[in-house]
This record gives sequence, C-alpha cells and structure tokens, in this order.
Amino acid sequence: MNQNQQIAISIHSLHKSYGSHEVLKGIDLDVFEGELFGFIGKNGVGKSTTIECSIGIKDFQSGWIEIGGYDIKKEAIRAKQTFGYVTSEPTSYEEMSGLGYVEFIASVYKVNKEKFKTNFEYLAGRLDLSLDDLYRPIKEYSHGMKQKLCLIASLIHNPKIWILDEPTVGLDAFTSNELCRMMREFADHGKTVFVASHNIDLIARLCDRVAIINKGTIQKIFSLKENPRERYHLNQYFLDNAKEKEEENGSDVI
Amino acid sequence: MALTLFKREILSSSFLSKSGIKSAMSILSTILFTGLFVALLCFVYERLYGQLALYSGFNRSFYDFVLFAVFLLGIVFAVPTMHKTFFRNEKERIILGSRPVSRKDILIAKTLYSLLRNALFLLVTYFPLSIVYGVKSQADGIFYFLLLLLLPLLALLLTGVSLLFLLPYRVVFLFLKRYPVLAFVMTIALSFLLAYFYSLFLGLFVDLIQNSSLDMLFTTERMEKMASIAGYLYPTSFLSNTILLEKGISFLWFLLMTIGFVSLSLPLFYLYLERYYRQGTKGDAKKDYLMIPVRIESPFKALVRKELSLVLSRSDGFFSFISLVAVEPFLIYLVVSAINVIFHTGNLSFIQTLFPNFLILIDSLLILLFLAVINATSSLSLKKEGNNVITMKTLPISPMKQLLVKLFVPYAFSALSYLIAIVVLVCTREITPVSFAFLIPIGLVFLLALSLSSLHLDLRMKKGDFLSLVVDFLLPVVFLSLSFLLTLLKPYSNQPVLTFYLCVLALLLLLSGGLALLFFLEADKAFLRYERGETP
Repeated sequence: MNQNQQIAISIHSLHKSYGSHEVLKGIDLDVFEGELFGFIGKNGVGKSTTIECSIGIKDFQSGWIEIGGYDIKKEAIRAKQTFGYVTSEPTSYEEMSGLGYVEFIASVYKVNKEKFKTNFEYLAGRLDLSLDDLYRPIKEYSHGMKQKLCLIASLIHNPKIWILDEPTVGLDAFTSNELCRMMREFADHGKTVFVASHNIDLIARLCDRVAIINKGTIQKIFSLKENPRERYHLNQYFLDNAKEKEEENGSDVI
Repeated sequence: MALTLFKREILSSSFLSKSGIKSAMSILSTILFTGLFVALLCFVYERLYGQLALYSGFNRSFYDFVLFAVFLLGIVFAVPTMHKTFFRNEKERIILGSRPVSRKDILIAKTLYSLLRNALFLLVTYFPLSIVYGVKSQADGIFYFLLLLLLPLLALLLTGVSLLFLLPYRVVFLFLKRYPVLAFVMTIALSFLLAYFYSLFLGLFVDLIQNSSLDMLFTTERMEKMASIAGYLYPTSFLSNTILLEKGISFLWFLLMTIGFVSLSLPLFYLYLERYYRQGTKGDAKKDYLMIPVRIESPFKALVRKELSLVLSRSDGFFSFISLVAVEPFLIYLVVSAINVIFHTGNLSFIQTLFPNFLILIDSLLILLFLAVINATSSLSLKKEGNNVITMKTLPISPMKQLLVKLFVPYAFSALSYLIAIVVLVCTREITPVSFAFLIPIGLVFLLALSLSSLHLDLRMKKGDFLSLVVDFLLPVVFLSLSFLLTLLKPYSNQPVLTFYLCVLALLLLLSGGLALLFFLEADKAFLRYERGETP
C-alpha cells in the first residue's frame, strides 16, 4: 500500500467479550482511503462484532477505533457522519414509504434538497427502484427491494466510507453485479469500501486487500492489488487454514 | 367474474381470513359486542320513547330524527370502510390490473361487498330501532313488512351516497398520508368531537338509568322545533313516510333519490377507478426523480416524524397505543362517574363520612391506574424498535437526543389524552376544581415517571416485561396509599385534601427526579450496551 495514503479506518488492540466469552482478542487493522477492503471469516469468528464495534453499535472492553479520523467512542457523532452502513438483514422503518425512509435518513444527515435529488436519482436509477416502488410502504417490499433501499439510504449523504456486511444476500444477479461495480467505482473515487462477506469468490475478484479473521484475531492480510495471483489462492488458503485451526482447537466449533 | 371477485372479497374479510379458533373467537366477540350494542341502543330508545310519550305526536318526529342520525352515522362508517375495500391492498391493482379482469367487474364486486356491509350495519341499527318504534306505537303488520322490504333499498342509497363521498375522502386521505403531523392534529380534533358526542350520549344514558326526567333536554320549545324540521330530513323522512303509510308519493321520491345517487356515484367512481388501475399497470417508472416533491427537514423534526409514523401505524392488535389513548378519556370518565355515584348514594356513603379523603383517593387511584395500564401495555418502548436499533445507533445523533424524542412523542399523546380526561371530569363536576388543579401536575409527572421507568427498564434489562408491568401497576397504588395514610396522621388533618395531593406530588417529583437524573447520567452508555434484548 502507498505509504502516503490516509487511513480511513483504524482498529487497534480491539478486545470484546460477552461475559467470560472473549470474541475479539486484539484486532489490529488499518484500512486506507481509496481502498476496497474485504473482510472474510467463518460464522461466529467475530466478523460482524468487529464491524459493529467499529461503527459504534457495540461497546468494547479495550482498544481504540478511529473511523474517518474520529475516535468512535470520544467523537461518535462526527465519526458516524463519515460512513454509510449496510447490514446483511435489511433494517428500515417498514411503516414508512421507501421515499419517506430515504428522506428521513437524508434529514438526519442534513443533506440539502438539491444534493438529495441528485444522489437519489442516481442511486435509485442504478439500483433499479422505480418511483412507483418508492412511494409504497416498505412492508410491501421483497427482501431484495428492502436491501436495495438500504443501499440507497447508506449512500444518500455521500459518505467517505462505505461499510457493508454481507450486502449481496437476497439480491438478484443483476443487482449484485451492479453493487459490485458501485463498490469498485466508490473506491476508485478515492473513498473507502469495507465489505464483509462469506462469498470468497466475490471478495477475491473485487477487493484490493483482504483480511481473514479467525478466532477473534486477524490471521492474515492479502494484498491482492499488489499480488494479483493471490486472488486465485485465497479460497484455498481460507479453507485449508480454517480446517487447520479447527484441528488445533479439537472439537471446538469455529 | 364479478361474482368470483365478490366471493373473494367475502373470503378475505376480517372474519373469514383468520383460521380456526381465531376466526371463531373473532365471530363470537363480534356477535357479543353487536348484541350488547343493539341492546343498549334499544334500551335508550325505548326509554326515550316513554319520556316523549308525554308530548303528543312528538315520537313520530323523533323517529325521523333517529333514522336520519342512523343514516348519517352509516355514511361516517361506510366511507372509510369502503375506502379500505377499494384501496386497502395496493398490490391488488397490479394483481388484478395485469389480468383479464374488467374494471367494471371490480367495481361491481366491491360495491356489492360494501352494499352487504352497509345492509348489515342497518340491520343492527335501523332495524331494531324501528322495531322498538313499531312495538311502542302499536304499528300494524304492514309496518314490519315494509321495514324489511325497504332495508336493502336504504342500504343501496347509503352505498350510493357513501360512494360519492369516497372520492373527496380519498383526496384527503392521500394528502394526510404525506403529512402525519397534520393527520395527528386532525385525529385530535376528531377525538374532541367524538368526546363531545360521547359525553352527550353518556349523560343521556346516566339520566335514563337514574330514571329522572329529561325535561332539560326536551323542552317544549325544542320539541316544536324538532317537529317542524322532522319532515325535511331527507331521504329518511321519505322512508318513514312510506313504512308508516303516511304519504304514498314518498316511496317514489325515495326510489328516485336512490336511483339518482347510485347512477351518479357509480359512473363517477368508475372513472376514478379506471385511472387508478391504469396507473398501477402502466407504472410511473418514467417519472422524473428530480420533479418529485422532497421533504428534507431538521434532524429533530425527522426524528419526531419517524416516531409519529411508528406511533400512528404500529399496532399491537386491539390494544394499539393510539386507540387506547383515544378511549382513555371516555374510560376514565365512565369509571370515575360510576364510582362517584356508588359512594355518594346508597349504603356506601358512610365511608365518605368516616374517611373524607377516601373518594378522592379512589378517584385519583383509578385515574393513575388507567394511565399506568395504557402506558405499560401500549406505549412505544425501545424494544419495539427491534432491529432498527442498529439504524438508531449508526445515526449521527446522540443517543440521548434520540431517546428523548422517543420519550416525548408517546408522552405528548398520553398527556393530551390525560388532560382531556380531567377537563371532562371537572366540567362534569366529577372532580372538584382543587382536585383538577392538583391532578394536572400529578398526572403529568406520573406519566413522565412511567415513561422514564419503562425506558430505564428497557435499557437495563433483557427481559423486563414482567417487572415493568409490576412496577407500572405498583407505582400508583404505593404512592397513593402512602399519601392517603399520611393524611390520616393528626398534624395534617386540618387540610387533608391538600396534604394528600401535596404528598403524592412530592413523592412523584422525587421519583421522577431520580429517574431523570439516572437517565441523563446513563442513557448514552446504556443505549450502546443495549442489544435488542437478545442474549449475545
């Protein structure tokens, strides 16, 4: 990575426990501006917990996190203004119309009307949500439509950082492909994408760098942009290593 | 095709769409409530008939008024119901619009279904009331025959008139859907209106129960005025003239009016329906995104609007927050007035002599219990946000501000409803002006304490449902009993009422102050720890 690049997300010595069960055992990670960063790991290894601690959804015991240059604990409001977040399960206020929900999010982020219209037209057009759909209550949407709406809402304020947790779940092939293109373009414009996924093929194809998390620690970081050949080995490495770790830990399910 | 669609409407009605025991329960409860409603209606009308019998000929005019009121009430109920029937399911225009189903068939099927509902409404209102009139006035058999015969015609007229009102109702509905704050103001205004009518009806009912005369209501002057305008209450006066065989030509007018309204409203509504379905099938994907009206407001307003949309549209079945808050003044008035009657008359009046504050305690206890029940079971607490807690946590607004808005919106509804309730109580002299003056701060502080404790329990506990219920129920009982006991102490016995209220207020202020302090100290951290009540 170019040493002159600014750090967009910085996680250091992150420890998080639920009671006596330690989920994150000292995560260290720097994600740079203009980077499409992949985050992979099996279920229950702390992938989502790392993201949720990073964006201020969950508290953590020790360590520090900076996002967009702001400490997520000390300057939470400023930090939250810098990113857009998409969960794997779409979350929105189902009583509202699609348009009403995006208006709500835009109001909270203090987006002006002109900017809103421009961004909204662009995003709704790219993700193929018609005005007819956007006027309907969200509770009438399919899972895919809800996810599209959450993607629009996450970008309506034009954030510097885009954080996505399993974003392709429930999306059709066309939208999934469009989303991948959008992530790439977002990073190419000097912004940061942090994407967590089970879909290793997608991550290998798309990302500049990839971190593998296992048992609450970062196991390895691959620089796929610098070593493109690693894209072909990522899947195998991930599978072999996960198996190894399982054997090391006996019957402990990862 | 129209018949198939009609059958589908019936099968998707609220009774038949449920399955098994739910359907049976729903039907049973409806029958029970309808039976009670009809019995109450007949009872009131029968008593009124007895009172009016003192004035010769006035019962005939009053019957015209009753029929006219039923007809107006029918329109008030039919228009929103028909709106639901035609536009309830937005997907329907895509489902039906893309299939070989003509708009005419849709219109016929839905109109027939509405006609059936309107006929049922008339069967439980117009029909029993007319039977009471027939029995009391010793009408001939032909009266009952014509009554039954003209019921479908009256239902048709009601449907035609309601269909005509449906279009302006739809315009207002769509407008208000876009502006929930305005919708809220309208709801409150309507609640006031309903409260007024309710108090009139309740006053009448209580008066009839106590068997006192209705001289105040039915003065000779009013009766004469009533008689003079009764003949002009169209279309129902045509109907009563027909079934009482008074003017033969009335039936013709009634028939012409029915045909006129139906033949005017059906084509008009058809034009609208055609446009509505065309929009659904063609879609408006080509509409310019830049041309749409956009509502971007301050973060605070956006949060309030979000909470309003949750409060106004999220329902927990029968006990939805808004419906409970709306009926709260009625319930409080009903129960307090009944309790006052019981303790002021009869064998229990000695209690009032022995313990002068006892009735004040009971009244206050009931009022606060109502507040507690409504807030404990239905207020919009944090746990109802479900997965949206994630959205809340990622917003660039401090948790404190978000939680305060969350508190403020349902609190405003509850407080308004409570204020209406005690204004009604003091206006009807169920409580004294002194009680009124003290109950305002007591109720408002109590509501605040409830909201704070409920939110505090939500934030602190994973499964606080039972405990919050216990706390909500115990709070009013403990505070009021404690305050009551304090008034029994000798040093305070000179001003027992003031002492009682001051004690309650002081204790409540202490509690709310403590809870508020706790909230301001812990809200941010507790909100971050809060994880949708799930065990991680």
